[in-house]
Amino acid sequence: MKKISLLFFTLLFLCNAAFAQFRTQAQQQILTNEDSLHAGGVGDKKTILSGYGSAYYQHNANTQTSIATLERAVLFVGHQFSRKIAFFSELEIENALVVGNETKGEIAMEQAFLKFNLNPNQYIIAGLFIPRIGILNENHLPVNFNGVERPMVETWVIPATWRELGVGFYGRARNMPLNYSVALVNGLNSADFTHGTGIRDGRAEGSMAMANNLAVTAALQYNVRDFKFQLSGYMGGTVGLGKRASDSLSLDGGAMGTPVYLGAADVQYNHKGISVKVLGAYIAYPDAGKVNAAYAQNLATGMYGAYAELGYDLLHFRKKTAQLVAFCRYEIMDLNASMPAAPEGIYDGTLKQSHLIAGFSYLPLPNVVIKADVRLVHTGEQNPLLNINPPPNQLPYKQNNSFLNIGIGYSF
Amino acid sequence: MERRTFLKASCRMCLLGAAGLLLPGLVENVKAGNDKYYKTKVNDQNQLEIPLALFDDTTLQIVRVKGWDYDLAVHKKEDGTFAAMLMKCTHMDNQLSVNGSGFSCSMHGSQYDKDGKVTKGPAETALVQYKAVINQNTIIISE
Repeated sequence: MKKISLLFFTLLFLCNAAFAQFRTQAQQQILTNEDSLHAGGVGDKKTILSGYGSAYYQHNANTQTSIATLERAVLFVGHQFSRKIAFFSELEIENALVVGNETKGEIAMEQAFLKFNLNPNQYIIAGLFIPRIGILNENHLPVNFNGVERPMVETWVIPATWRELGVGFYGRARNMPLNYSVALVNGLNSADFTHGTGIRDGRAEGSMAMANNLAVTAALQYNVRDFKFQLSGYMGGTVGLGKRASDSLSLDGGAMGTPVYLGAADVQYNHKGISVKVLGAYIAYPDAGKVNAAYAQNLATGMYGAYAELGYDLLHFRKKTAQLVAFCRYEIMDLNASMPAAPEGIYDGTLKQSHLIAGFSYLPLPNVVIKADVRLVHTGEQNPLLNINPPPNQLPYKQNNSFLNIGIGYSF
Repeated sequence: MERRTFLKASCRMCLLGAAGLLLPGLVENVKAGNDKYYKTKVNDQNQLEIPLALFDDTTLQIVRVKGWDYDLAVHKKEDGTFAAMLMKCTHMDNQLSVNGSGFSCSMHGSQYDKDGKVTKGPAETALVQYKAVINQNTIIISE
């Protein structure tokens, strides 16, 4: 009942804020026709189509295999209902083909939310959206990150692109270059967590999410000179079952029962063609042992990841639109940095990894990119206890591997 | 050194480094006041008037116009002229934030330089610009 009351008053507040301001005739006249949305009144409705996509070729040195795929084709549709209320969506097709029961491709709504502008500094969004966690989650378009592949840390520790259903409040401070956001979203589902993928498989992504358990995310961004500092976090329950079912599994249910915590800090620097990104993230899942006992998943109580990237635009001083960015990124992560005591947890050395990526991004325009890079991977040793019933012809596990990647990307 | 000790030491170093970088900038921003809004409204001649003195200590001033849904960024160029740009992303109309080298949109990552030109997509067109001319001690902004 409390939740319904809270939702009702939130909607009432939004409607009030959305229609609280009006503009005088003189104020409307200063605005250009080109900017008709901003002018309000006649012509304030508009529908926008845009999107992004990427395709790549990858060669795996250990297996001596190569793949080529249309990784993503995403269509944005946005509609401005009024000066204060807009709709945004992203419809994604991964790997081009979705047919029958084959698992090659995927069709998914990446985002679909309503945006309520409160004032030039603040807005509320509601629906399926991507919270501000880390760097890539919010800025995942291929023209905006170096490397054919997204950073590993922001794929497996921060499971980008991570979207959930909920309500978010975004704004920026009045007297300093500080941006903030806070959001209430549905929680993760511990029953779907799998060994080796962190918390990634527990995401509902807007599809029949268990909403008995909830999560809160928040972020602070501070811009100073050419630096951008950010702290972001996530805290949420992971058991969405009813009391009877959760009790039977000896798990804590409720909004924040069996909680998972994620904290991330990052710094970005851009100046005269030099770009630097540094990010660190840590996940704590104190009750992983209980979840392992319930579902036999071998989850970790602690996971971490960090990366540092240096890039330089070789064409920066030629003052041309084109950019040719040479970059190098080093990533470390351990998806089982700390494990519950045996028999509830067994350490898997292959999940402790380092990745060294070096390559180029060529952007003839800010919206088109051609990428090429090499990724060198090193992992820890395989734990024989986790290699159950190996086939007689199984090859020994190789701790080192390398990948050659070539890709294209676009956004508009 | 144990991993835990190493991580703790690294975090402390990062925090100290961040504090060292943040403090001078914070002090400078507060002194210059370049992130404080100058509030104004459209006058009877359909113009905005902004005191020239606002640019004594800064080259960028954010202007909050009464009744507008987006702020206006007024930038003093190296040649002494001014550019007035609407802080509205030309991709999907989201509000923009000021960063060190221009403006950025958090919705899809578009970036613009100080002159409003796109430096990172998905935006493709420059920010909406208004005329900005100096009249004695005032900057007059109009269509």
